[in-house]
Amino acid sequence: MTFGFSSCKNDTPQPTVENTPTVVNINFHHFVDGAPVEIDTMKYINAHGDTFSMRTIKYFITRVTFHRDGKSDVVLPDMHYVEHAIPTTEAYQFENKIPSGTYTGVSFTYGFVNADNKSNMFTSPPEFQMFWPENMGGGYHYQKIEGQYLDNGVKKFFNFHAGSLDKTDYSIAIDLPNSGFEVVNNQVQIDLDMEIQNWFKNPVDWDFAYFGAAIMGNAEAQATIQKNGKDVFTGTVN
Amino acid sequence: MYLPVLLTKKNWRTFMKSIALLIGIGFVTLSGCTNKGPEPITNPVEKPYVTTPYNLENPVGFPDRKIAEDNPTTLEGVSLGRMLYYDHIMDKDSSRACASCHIQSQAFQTDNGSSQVLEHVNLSWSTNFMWNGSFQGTLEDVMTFEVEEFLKTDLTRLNNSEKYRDLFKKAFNVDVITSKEAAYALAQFERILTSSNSRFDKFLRGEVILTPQELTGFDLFNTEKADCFHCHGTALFTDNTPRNNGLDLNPADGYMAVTGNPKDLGRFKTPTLRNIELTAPYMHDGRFATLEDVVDFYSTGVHNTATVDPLMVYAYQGGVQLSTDEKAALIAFLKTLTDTSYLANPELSNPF
Repeated sequence: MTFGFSSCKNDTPQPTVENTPTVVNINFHHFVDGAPVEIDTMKYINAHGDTFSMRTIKYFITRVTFHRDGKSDVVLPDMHYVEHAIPTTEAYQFENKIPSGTYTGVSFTYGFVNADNKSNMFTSPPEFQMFWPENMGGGYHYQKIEGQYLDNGVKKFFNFHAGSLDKTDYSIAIDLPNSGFEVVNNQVQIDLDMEIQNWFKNPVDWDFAYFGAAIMGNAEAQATIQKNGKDVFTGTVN
Repeated sequence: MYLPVLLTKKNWRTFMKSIALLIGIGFVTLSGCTNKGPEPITNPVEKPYVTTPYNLENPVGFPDRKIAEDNPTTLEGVSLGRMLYYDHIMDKDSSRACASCHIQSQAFQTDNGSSQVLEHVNLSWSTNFMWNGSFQGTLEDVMTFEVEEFLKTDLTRLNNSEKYRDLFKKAFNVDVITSKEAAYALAQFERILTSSNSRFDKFLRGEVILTPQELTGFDLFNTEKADCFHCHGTALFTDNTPRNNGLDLNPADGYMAVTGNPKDLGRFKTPTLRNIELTAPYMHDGRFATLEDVVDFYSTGVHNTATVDPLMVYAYQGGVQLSTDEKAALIAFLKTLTDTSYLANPELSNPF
């Protein structure tokens, strides 16, 4: 009745909080020891005591989910690619109808769950270049984090690459701590902070020399990345 | 019995259109009857500009092609582009054509001595051109550069050619040929230069089987043992990115000449490996005569310099350290990328 009455007064439906698109902005930040990452600077020391530098940070986050008490979750459909060298990828904007109200927290998948990880689903660079070879399971790298470490004074590269080795799902379910929020004014602002040092500890102190430079085919390394990645992200939501 | 069949919803519309047409004809006829004035003066009816879409199929496993919205691929455009590709008229001095350096039987490349000519293949998927990455954009962009800057085409000669005026009219509906249409025609032809029928492609399609040695090479290629795939991956066998693969302790400028950034020192475009068996010598300066030389380099000859790419993870030890059998297997696999049908495709050959 109310809708009908309103329609009589004005042919244009009046927007409500529910049917006005909500803009979700997610900004990605990358830190080492709490400070913005510096590229190609051999000054970082990980929990194992290895000196290292950073060159490349590339990864996907998927299934960004807003949780509600007693109501269905809101899952953003996009698979978002982040590359530190491409600043535009560090600011992700999603616009859609999101119910107003109180949300208890934010979670997302780092990489892809197997059901989402389909070969050839990306047809343009840079996402396309993240492919994971078919003979190693297919789909896409979850991440390519690269840099150098010192091994007895010798600079060696590390390719800290993760993906679905032999179709084992090594994606990481991230529950962002203290991430409850309210949707007000149709805006959600999320700042996601990656602490790179956390990739290399808790529970396993990462030994560059032990794991070596190339770890894509190393199931132990992939499982270790999955374990260590649980607390890599913190963030603020408002 | 027939009426319900004839007057379906779709046929009903057709029926009503026919009625409307008949009424219209009747009106015209009637008007004609009532007006016996002089016949109207009409201009000759110009043949409408209609092009025929070129069926540009995307090979299995390839990413989507990049096609400029203002340059759809047409039979007329491709045919014209093919003629321009092989015609010396495009060169200011008539001393060369595109095909002079990009020879079909040599996978649309050739060795010109001072530097290796990049292969014209699968450029439909490229946005980076030239060895040092000096040109980024669409095929239309780079062909415009070729027409205006490299070949310095004398457009007067094209416009003085009745044959080309007619062909450009049919392809682009222009009366005056400019560098834009010439470049767009070349881009359309280059867009169909697709190699996707090698033994490896047939293997992926289940049409042939590879030998055990070739399969070993495939596995080496696509794992971090030989670690070729990071740069030469996907169905394109290139990521089209300029990279420093550790060729020299003191490398040539490469991409640094374009950006001015010292971190780009020694970076050159990653070439496709399709038809690599036929494109010797290798590297941007043609320094390696054989595939064996190339594999030896990646095995033990890599220099660990400040700007070497992080994907050269074994640069610290000179390379990936392959055994003799592994090298042979890798080369056997690389030779499965030879696409003889591409080299002999009559649709790509010299039309003159």
